[in-house]
Amino acid sequence: MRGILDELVFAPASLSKNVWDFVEKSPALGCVITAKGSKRNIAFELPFLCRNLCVERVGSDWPDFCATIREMGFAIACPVDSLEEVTAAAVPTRMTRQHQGEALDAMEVSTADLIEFSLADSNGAYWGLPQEIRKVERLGPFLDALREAAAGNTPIGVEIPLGTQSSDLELVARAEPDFLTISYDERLGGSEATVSAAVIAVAKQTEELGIPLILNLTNVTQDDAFKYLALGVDVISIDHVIETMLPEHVDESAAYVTGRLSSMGVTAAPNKSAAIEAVSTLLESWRQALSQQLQFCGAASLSDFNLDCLRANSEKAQSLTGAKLLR
Amino acid sequence: MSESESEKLKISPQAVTKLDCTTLGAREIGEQLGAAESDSCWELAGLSRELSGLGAGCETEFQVKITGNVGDFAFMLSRNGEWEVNGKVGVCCGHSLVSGRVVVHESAAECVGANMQGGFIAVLGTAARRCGFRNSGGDILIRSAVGDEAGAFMTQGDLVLANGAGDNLGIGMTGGAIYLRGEARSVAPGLRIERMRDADSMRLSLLLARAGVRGDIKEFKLYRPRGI
Repeated sequence: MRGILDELVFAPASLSKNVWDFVEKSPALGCVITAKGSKRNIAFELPFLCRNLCVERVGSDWPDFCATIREMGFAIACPVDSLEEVTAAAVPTRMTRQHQGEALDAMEVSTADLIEFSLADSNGAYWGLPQEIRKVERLGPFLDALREAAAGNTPIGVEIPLGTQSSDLELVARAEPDFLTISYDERLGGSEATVSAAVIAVAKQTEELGIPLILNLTNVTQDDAFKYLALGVDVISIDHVIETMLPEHVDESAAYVTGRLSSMGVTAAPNKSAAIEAVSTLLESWRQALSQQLQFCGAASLSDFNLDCLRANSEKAQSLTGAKLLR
Repeated sequence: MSESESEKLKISPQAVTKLDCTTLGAREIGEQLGAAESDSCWELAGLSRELSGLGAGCETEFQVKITGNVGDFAFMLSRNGEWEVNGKVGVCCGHSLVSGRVVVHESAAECVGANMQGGFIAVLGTAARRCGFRNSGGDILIRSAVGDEAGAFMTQGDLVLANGAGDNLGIGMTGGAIYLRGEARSVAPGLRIERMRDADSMRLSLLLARAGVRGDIKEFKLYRPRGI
């Protein structure tokens, strides 16, 4: 069974808008996450995040990989140590992840552009509040202290699992995180339909609460990613898309990557290493596709790319998402 | 505590900068302290208990004397500083503390020194449950009574309990040492009493001296997790 997303389609721009304005101008694809009580904004030029790729997995292409992420204008989650070999001009926006059940890392907290406090332990075995916090009302003071430890101008987010009770999400929201990350936990089980329905519910709720939402799913297609963006998700993790381009997935990456590149219509010989060229091409294709999608829907920016850009082709999808029915 | 013991903990009276915190938030205080020079002395007064994260992330090597109660998660991830609190502290005081010294003259709420990585915390009053929770390298001394599960899930560092302990002392502990004077209501099954060697005695003497607490080290028992 496919998800509820299949019952949603993009609506073309209304004739009341001057369509050619959107065709001629490139829409703004960026989003901003602000640190509470600070004027500092962390800007994403693309609403994507690379969460799980580290120097060990990317290998010797890591500095070029970081440069590509920076060039494309989105963020990466990695430890600060892994940037030692990366020149300052190639360092992308960096998020650090601090897990419950572990001491906070002073170096990470003081150097990151974004801090995500995960309510999962580092093995991903358990979700929950840290034992030392114990009560959910202490999460707010904890985040305040963490914000203070990060000099007060770094956005602090909380990672919770998809499938969290809506009341739990409200409790976490009361702690006033600067953003929320929703991660899909495989143990949640369920079909793609269940997952997309849960994401839609969370996106709706976080939009009402006014908290930016980062979505961390392990397998989201480009079309679905764009629909999630229209449904209120602010940033989407796209590791699974990039991963397939990396050398660790193929024995002879050059041949594999050349094949992938030609399938994208790229015939020029790669000038960097094949894998990084492929990643760069892939990201560019996502950027262009998103740009075209916004133009199609008549959205000048991601903030205009909302529920009005979607139509539901079933009453079930309409009631779940709030999108207008396709007529 | 005797007068001579208190004297040892007092900050030397050289050029103290006084800061009235009545209307300041943790951020404003943090900004002031962040701009402080090394080896400077500060005195903070008029704190409200609601201020969370006081002194969090401070890196300056300075001395700060605080009059009044301090809120939750004070001194989180702090480095180098010497903090003296003439009042109570909230939950998780010194969470993930990296280095430096914190002396609390009154009581501490739950989980004092949770996830400490280094440094030293002395609580001269009582401490609630789970003091030294998951301590991974710091030293903690509690002069008066402590709640249950002291030293729970410690992996490294030393915990000195100078006036007995509650239930489940050292539950889940995999490393580090607990020095206990008096009795514990119950001790976790994974813990055993060890003979105090010279190095342990010296270590204990040092920690007592660092907190300005007098005590006969022979009155202490040393607990370590089995198999360490």
